[in-house]
Amino acid sequence: MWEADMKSLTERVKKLAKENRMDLVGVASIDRYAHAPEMVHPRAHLPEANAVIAMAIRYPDAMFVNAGSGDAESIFSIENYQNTVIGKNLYNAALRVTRLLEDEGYKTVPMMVSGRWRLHPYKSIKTEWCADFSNRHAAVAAGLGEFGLHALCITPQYGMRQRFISIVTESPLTADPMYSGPSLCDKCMLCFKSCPSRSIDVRPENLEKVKIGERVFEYAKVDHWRCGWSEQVNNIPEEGPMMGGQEIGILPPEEGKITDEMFLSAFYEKNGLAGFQAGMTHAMGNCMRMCIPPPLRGKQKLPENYCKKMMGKREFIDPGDDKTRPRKYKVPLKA
Amino acid sequence: MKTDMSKLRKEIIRTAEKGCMDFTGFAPMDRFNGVHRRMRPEAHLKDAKCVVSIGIRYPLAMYENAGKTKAESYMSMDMYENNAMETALLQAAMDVARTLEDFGFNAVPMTTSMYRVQPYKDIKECWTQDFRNDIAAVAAGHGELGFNGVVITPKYGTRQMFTSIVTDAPIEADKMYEGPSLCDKCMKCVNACKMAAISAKDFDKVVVGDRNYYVAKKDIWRCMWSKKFMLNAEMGPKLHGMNVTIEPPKDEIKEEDVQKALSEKGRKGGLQTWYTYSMRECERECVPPHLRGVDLVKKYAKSAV
Repeated sequence: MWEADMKSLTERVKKLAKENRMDLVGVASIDRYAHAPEMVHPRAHLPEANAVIAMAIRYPDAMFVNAGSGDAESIFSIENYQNTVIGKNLYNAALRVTRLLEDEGYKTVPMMVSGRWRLHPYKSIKTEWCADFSNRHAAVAAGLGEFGLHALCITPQYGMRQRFISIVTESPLTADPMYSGPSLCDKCMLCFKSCPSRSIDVRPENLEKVKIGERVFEYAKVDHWRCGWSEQVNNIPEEGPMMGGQEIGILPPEEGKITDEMFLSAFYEKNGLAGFQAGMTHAMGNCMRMCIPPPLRGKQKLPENYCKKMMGKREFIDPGDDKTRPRKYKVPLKA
Repeated sequence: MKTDMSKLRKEIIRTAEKGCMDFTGFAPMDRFNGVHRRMRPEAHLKDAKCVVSIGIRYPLAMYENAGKTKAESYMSMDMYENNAMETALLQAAMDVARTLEDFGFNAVPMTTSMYRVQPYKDIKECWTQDFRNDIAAVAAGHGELGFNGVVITPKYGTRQMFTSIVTDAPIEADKMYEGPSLCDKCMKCVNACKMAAISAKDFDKVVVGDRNYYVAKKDIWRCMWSKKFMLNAEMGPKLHGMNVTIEPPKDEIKEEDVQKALSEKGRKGGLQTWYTYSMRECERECVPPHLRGVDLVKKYAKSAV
């Protein structure tokens, strides 16, 4: 196909994505993945891949900022919209873009949003809680933004307030330049300080380095077992579940590694103590909530740090002598 | 005022296409005479006169490559099949139902993935749905039932999902499929099933309209042992790091056997058992004779038409 035709197809892809509610769309050429690990490389999914399309949909901004604040003290909307509407919109747009490219004769494989991981190292994959493709790395490669210290992609338009999806295609679409504007992370450490499960390791000697295209990024090592302890199974009420009435929490061990057995035991124990409410709740990553990139400060409203405020009111049930074991506590809710 | 049925038919096709549907067809009631009374269209809408069958193709390279490329992963397959495609089907069915209502007709959209696990009143079988989307697809002319019991279409083989809308609108029916046979009983489906759930010798006769299809007898509990409960690591879970296989009993599988096996899988497989998928190789291995060795994406590219 001629270059002009490919430019036109790229424009059609972007138009279709935007017609299907995507706020950001970018294209990464395959050469930007030269340093990607073999098993999460686009060509691991489609050997003929020549490009990756990254797309994002923004959160309703006031919903994101106000969740948990005000007299409603509720995160029901953000849970429902994030897990249902926002996710489904991403999949719908990805499916439609995939079909367009197939109709044009290009093999195309859409990637998932989130929700499936290999929890343990697998063959050449050394990391834990690893998805089969990284949408945040694709977003950076496609020029939508850059990494924050928390290892997530920050965009100049919405900061942290969007979700991503990717599509791997054989079509050699016209690539967008990588982001080259003002830095989107000044290492303010709010993400690190806001994380109630102490998942983010910012020690300089532990920082991770990745090369995408010609750029090298450095970000914190994230302990996904600790992150999942709250984000996936709602064991820390201050990160959201207390807004639904869940007073019971279980902290991950202060020292040592979280095991499968420990993770599952804590989950079931918390559910037993917290009752039905534990099944109807949501934890919202505080690292994401509190992150506002320098160019957007004063433009994006900083959410209330309800998590930090409530962390001071813990009543521990376990003495916490053994720092290698989880520790139960209660956050009393008063009118 | 009399409804313009031709206009309604076109409007339904347009609505389904807008919703990403690759198939839209119409089946009259008499083609469902061989179906159990509780799964017939009239069981859902007393005065039903037509079934609209709609279908969406899988992203073709995703279906082909899942678990076979260097990524060794079924994550996209899992999330698109159970999320994106199912949502697209239900959304399109809802939109078609709304179109029918706007024209003054009743319409009941059918499910894609709900089951009665145990026999129910006069339904003797386990794992039954309340409507046969497969039979509706055949009745609406999309394709044929293969020996594996799965709908095979001349365009995509087994690479699509269907749902249906039952309506009292008397819409003109499509012809049933009349082309060359789409199943030559190659037995790849039988051989691909690591659960040995599909019989190579015993079959049932399934009647759709005036056509008879001979479909292999399937041990549905043995099939679900892998497909739904993911108790055979070799069918997919192993590739996500969940390498626990529980052997089913040699004779009849009962619900309590599954419960026991799930508990054992949970103990041995840990948290990873939450995040895995099992592929239906009986479907993937099934390629109708005329599509063997054909690159479907290239075949159906607009530029190739």
